[in-house]
Amino acid sequence: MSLGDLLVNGEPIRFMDMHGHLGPFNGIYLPEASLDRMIAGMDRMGMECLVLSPHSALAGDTREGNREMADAVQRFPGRIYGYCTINPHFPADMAPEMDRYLGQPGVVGIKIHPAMHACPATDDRYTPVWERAQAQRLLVLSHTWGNDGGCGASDMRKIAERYPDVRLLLGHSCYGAWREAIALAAEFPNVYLELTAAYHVYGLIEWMCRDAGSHKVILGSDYPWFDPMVPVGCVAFAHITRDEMQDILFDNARRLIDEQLKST
Amino acid sequence: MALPREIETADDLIAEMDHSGIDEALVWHRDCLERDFNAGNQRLDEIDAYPRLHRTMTFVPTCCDEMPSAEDFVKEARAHGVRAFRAFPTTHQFSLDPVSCGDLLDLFSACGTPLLIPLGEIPGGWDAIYRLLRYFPRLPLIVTETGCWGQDRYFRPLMKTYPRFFISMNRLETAGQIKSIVDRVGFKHLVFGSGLPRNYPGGYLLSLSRAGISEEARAAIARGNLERLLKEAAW
Repeated sequence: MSLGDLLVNGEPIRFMDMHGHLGPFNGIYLPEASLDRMIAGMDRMGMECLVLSPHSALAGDTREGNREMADAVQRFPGRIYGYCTINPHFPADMAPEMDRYLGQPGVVGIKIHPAMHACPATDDRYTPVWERAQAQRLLVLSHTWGNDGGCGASDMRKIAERYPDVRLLLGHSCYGAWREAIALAAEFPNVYLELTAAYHVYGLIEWMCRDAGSHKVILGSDYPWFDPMVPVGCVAFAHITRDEMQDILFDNARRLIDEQLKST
Repeated sequence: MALPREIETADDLIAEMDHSGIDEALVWHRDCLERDFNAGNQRLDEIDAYPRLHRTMTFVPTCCDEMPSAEDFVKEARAHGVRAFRAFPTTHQFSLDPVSCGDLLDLFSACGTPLLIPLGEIPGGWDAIYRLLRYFPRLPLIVTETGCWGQDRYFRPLMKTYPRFFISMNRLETAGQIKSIVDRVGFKHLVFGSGLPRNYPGGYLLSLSRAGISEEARAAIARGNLERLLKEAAW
């Protein structure tokens, strides 16, 4: 019986999710947006841990959002890990926020959203982020989409070339620019393909595993936006080996998080 | 549009359905959307030998000489074993307004034959669906590909108002959404759809199986709701 069949028939799942958020978001009804509902959902689903950046950090007051992140990490150690979110439009806050949170237990990296913040990832305003991440070999989850536009594969290629020690998670795997994103992950040892939103595209997971390797593919769901059972199901029913599924569902995330925890 | 993995033949489709545990499917040919609706409809002859695959036929308005009369179109569809209809108004550049499609939509409503339309193919989006159902309240309408961003504020009022209004599960991905709909609106307005070969079916299968809803609700969404709708078609 395939892993997918086993899971549909109630076999317990163990997985980790490296692209999460927290709290309500304008325009969308999110039934599981509160932290308590999310933890209950994680328990129900078998999600061992989630790495998150609150919506309030991305779309509101970044300092308040980062405090919300730190509170969540503190309340649920080992279940919730956090990204320190950086908004490039508030340069005076950048260094203090990174100083405050990077190195705290359970804070495993930095989150940037060049599209939401309308600032290309290659813009000078992000330089302090990339330099800090390069110096400390930090994990950075960047929203990425397409090939151009400030957070596309061509932009991420420039970042990967300039800052080779940054552990760069391509959030959404440069949605749509699959060939370019997969090439980046294949070429650069520290570039990873993160599956949020991309997971549904039939055949993509097989392509990623074949050309970049399953060790470069990371499970993510945007939880509480998307039901993590959707990406888990996509992986479990993909035409890949059980070992490759294990890499994507659990081992890769565990390794990346553990490396960050050891270095802080 | 090239896809990472193609479903080229009916055998390929059956193999993927077997892999995912899907018994039967309503099928259309992508030529209907991307090339020519008539050519795509004709290519459905390729599934004649596959009893698990059911034809759905694409239409455009009858105003030009590319379509027969509404009555003849429905007769032809019935003769070919068609189980449901599809429309792509945005791509095919027409309106679903009764002035344009009233002859066909009146017949579909009277016959109870389902009409499937992707949300993105409806000019005017949800407001247009509200208007459409005011005109054709008995039209069995299945809106597909409503998008991964929760559209509940749009579609739940329609579920509460129109017994024959349905949402397909493909791209219905908001966390907790299925349970919330089932708890607050009921399970009768959701039908399983995968969007294969655009989407992996397995994601929606697992999401449904782990939705935290009753077995009755799960079975109805997985099969029963659509089965009942197709059986109700009186033609």
